[in-house]
Amino acid sequence: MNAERCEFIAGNSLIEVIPSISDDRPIHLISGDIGPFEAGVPCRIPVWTAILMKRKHNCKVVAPQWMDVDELKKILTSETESQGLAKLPDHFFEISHMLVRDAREDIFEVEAVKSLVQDIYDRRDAKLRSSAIEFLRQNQTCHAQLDNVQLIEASSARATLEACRQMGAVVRNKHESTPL
Amino acid sequence: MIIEDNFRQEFYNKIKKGDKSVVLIVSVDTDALCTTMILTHLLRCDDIPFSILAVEGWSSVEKIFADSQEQKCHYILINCGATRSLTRLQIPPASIAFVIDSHRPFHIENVYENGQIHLLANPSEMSELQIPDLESVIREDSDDEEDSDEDEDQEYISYEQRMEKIRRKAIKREEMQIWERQRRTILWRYYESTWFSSPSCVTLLEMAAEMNRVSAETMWFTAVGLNSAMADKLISIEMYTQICVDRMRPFVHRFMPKNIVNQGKVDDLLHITFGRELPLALYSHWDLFSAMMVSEYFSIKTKNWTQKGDVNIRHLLAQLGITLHETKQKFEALPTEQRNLVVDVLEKEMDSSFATFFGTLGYCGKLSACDVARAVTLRLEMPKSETIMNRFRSGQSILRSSITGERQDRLNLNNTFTSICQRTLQVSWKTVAAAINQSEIIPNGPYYLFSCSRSIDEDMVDSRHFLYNTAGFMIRAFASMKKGRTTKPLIAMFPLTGESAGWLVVTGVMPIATIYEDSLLKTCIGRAFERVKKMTPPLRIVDDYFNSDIIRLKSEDRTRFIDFLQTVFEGTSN
Repeated sequence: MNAERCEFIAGNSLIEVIPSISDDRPIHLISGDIGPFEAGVPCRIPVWTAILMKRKHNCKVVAPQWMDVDELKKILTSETESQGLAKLPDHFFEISHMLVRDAREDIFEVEAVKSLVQDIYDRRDAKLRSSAIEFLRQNQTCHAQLDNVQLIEASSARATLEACRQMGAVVRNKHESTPL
Repeated sequence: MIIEDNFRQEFYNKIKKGDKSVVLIVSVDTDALCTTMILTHLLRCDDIPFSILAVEGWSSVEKIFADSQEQKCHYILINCGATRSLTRLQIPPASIAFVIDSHRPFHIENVYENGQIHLLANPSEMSELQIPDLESVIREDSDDEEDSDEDEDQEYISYEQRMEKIRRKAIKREEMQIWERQRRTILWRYYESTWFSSPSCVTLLEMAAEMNRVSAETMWFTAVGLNSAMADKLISIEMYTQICVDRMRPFVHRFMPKNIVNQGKVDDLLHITFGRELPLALYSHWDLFSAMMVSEYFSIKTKNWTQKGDVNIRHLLAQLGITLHETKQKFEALPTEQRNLVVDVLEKEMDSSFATFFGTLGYCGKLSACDVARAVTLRLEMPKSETIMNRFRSGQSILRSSITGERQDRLNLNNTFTSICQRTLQVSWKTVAAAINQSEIIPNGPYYLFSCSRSIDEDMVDSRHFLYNTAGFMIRAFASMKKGRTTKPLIAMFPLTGESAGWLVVTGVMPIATIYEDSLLKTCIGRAFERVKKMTPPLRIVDDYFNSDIIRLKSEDRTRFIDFLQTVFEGTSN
């Protein structure tokens, strides 16, 4: 699992767009129908379709509600204040990344949004790191609970934790096999 | 066939719907490159696969056609192909060609070839084209054959009838001859001069707008393409301004910073503004002194190729109230107020109505489309040792790097400005200075002849940008030295070195008097060269360039060429 795959999974979440084309025939897919489109009437479609359409100048993306400077500031303060991780909308980082990359014209104050999202990410990343170290340092209990971890964060932390676990196994092996 | 309007239906949708593969045959100049960028953007939006072939002369177009005789393709010829008959270049029979070319006039066979060749032209220029009627230039030859068939069938007819027939035939032949003569004069008038119409990229931008697919990037490409035509002296300032005002205005308003949501804040979107600019090449990436030194206006005003020139320049600067210190340092290093002040003074002095497009991107500096156009043109034309496709790609990357904020890209662009562009301007100035100081320009009957004796980089001599600019500069400078030098054209010859040593590049500019009269900058030099080529004994001339007024000539034939040209010009003036 890597960031790219997380983005792929996030691509399936819905987002609102304002199409600039009209098409009566919906697109039938296994996961559900997309469309029909009518120019100027907002509709909800998966992010990946939205981005494809955006590249073809076929629609305008309506940024999600949380992708607003004030909203993001709120999230940032709650992140700073809370001990654990704060609750975020699903696929927060993946969607922001995709929209900032491909639909930057449609986001209001895109620069501020970009830096705020980065701030939130950094803050959470720091928390994750410190809690991971905390978890690895203790040797009594072998479980921990951490809520509201995003998919992308879990996948980025997984590598470290996995490596540490294996390291632990190696060390244990060493102790067990060395004659006293 | 000429397509005048509704390009979307007649041109784009046909490519889109067609089952043929799309091949773009692109001439290597900036306008063509910009047009290609816009067109490929559109094609990519519609998921249409395409291939790009860059070409530099008629022979390469012919070769492409010869290689793909059996294939069914939609050829899109960009800035090439309109001025010679594509049927005679053996265009594959199953293919269809769309020609987006700013060279004028169209070849008459392309105009009246209905199924296969489509020329895109603006409705506004139709009156200027003055295409002759079909009947007056093309006539079916089949009548005669039919007659002869009849003769054989009806041998029993009486004497009178036979006489009648012979008489009719004679009359017909007579008519034919008259028609032939008329045709020749009509065609002569039609092909007499060549000129450039509005750049192709403007047409494509309008088409993109019709499809609602204009972005700031496509707008910037158009701005660069339009400015390149101006920098290459293909279109006059009047025409340039007219295009800016008439056709670019809606787009200018759309991408102005104040019309975009993020008011007053810097973001890293591309913004395009339209504003006044000094017609002084590259000054914002150079120091003012050097830029003024090589600029046509100041150079001619101060005659800085003479011994007194240096004093003249200082005198002029003192008059304008600009200190030497200001002019000798890098322009960008000047404080902003001082910069504005200096620009104001110079603008008043030059009294120009030149305005151009500026691209701003985040915190990167402002770039003028005019400077970028020069950089792209030279990148496309310069290292001739590179393959044509590589040059095309490096031109493309320079054009792209003007609108990305990447550090590496900016460095690349700045390098191009400081190395190639400045050098070209300097070489151009030096050539002119040497030509006048050593009186290398000699009057030769109906024209002035300049034959370059200095050796110049082969790369530069082969570049259209350099040739047109140098020749234009030279004729102005030459005319400024003495009165009464405005009525004759100038023919310039530059020797080639290296691989094609032994050949000369020959070009020409029209007399200054006509340049001022005519806003289309029509030239008949190409026509004159063509006629010289047809004379006997034949000279070794290669006219492979898309611009008919640039040819290559074998050095041994030089003297004969000069004589022939003299007779041709005398013939025309009489």
